Amino acid sequence: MNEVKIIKGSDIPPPPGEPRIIRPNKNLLWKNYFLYVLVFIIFTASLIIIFTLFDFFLVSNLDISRRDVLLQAFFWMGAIYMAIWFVITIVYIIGMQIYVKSMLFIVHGHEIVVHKGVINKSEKHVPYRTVTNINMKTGPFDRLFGIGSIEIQTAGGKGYSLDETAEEKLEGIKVYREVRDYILTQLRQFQAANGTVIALKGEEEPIESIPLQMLSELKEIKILMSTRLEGMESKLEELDKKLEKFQRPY
Amino acid sequence: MTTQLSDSEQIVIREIFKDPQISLEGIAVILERERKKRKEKEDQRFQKKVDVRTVSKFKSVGLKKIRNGLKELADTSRLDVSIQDDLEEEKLEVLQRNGILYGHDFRIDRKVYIFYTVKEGYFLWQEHVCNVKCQDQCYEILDLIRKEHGLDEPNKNELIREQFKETFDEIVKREKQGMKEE
Repeated sequence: MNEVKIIKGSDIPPPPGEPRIIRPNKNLLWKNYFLYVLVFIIFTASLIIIFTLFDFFLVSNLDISRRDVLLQAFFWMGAIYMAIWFVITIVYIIGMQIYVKSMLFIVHGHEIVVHKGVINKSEKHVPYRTVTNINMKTGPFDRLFGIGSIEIQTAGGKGYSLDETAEEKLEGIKVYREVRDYILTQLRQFQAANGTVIALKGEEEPIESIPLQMLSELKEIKILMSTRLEGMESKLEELDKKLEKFQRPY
Repeated sequence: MTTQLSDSEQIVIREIFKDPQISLEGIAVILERERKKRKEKEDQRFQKKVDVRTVSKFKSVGLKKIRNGLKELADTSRLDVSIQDDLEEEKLEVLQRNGILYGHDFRIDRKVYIFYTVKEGYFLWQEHVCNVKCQDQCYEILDLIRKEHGLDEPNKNELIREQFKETFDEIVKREKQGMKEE
């Protein structure tokens, strides 16, 4: 790809408070399918090994008529096993597609909303005031597919240890690092606005966000005014030139 | 697969951008004319008559390359291209066909647009209120996009940010109208 021109413009953020919907990436689907195939291969391979050993130690010692009956039984068992897997695979493929499509994460200025589920549809609201920790997780399979997940832990978590108290999990996000940072910034802003300080894992003191917000708003006003003034100045110059034409000495 | 468009693909895409309802036969005539202009530079195979099948191939490959280029750029720029509502899905599809993709950059908490223009290649435009410094550059880009899509010149007195949005709406509206007429 040729060099891409990037136009950044002035440093003005958009008006805050707009909720942002984040959907899981399609790679989450591929990761789950990959894991499914991996489980199928491992399970089938282990079954084949068990039956081969069984055949080697027991069946080979039997007489021919009994051996045939047993081998036929093995064949039918194998056929039934494959048929069951086939049905499960179809259900899994369709179900997973619907499940991933049903997942939706909304990041507000004061809470995170997680929509999940196919049969039992759930909509969980995690208010920022209850959030204690935010973890970012990327397993080997996640990294393989370029996705990651963010775990949000709350004070009233239901796990047994601290690490198991993830109230909600935002799965299959491609820009997981950026989303994590975004949530942290929103969280800090919320805390600063409400005067509460909650210790964040691996984070230092909360940033004073309200003056920053005010500063950015003032900057926006300044630039808007300067653009308008620039336009007015050019119009005044034009008017001056026109007036000069009409000026006559008396 | 490379995202660079060949000369023939660029001609086909340029014509589609300009008029989405143009027939393949129409593009074939233009392509043939353009090739004849370059007769001396190009080799013998470009002097053959252009048929509809060739144009169709150029069109699909060109659009695919643009789509891949936009996605690649969105990935490298770490943009989140999640659809915000169900209505947006169709709009995004049309815009991608027209070399436009937008997403959200969480690092700067701003909407970012990626454009493909036949003349200048790819652009990445972070949504902002233009000031004196960037106004001319942004205006040029907007003008280039509108020209390539066969739209009128942008209004200098209006906010460029709003005009970008209007341009996308116009592109989507035009394609939808064309589909209805068909």
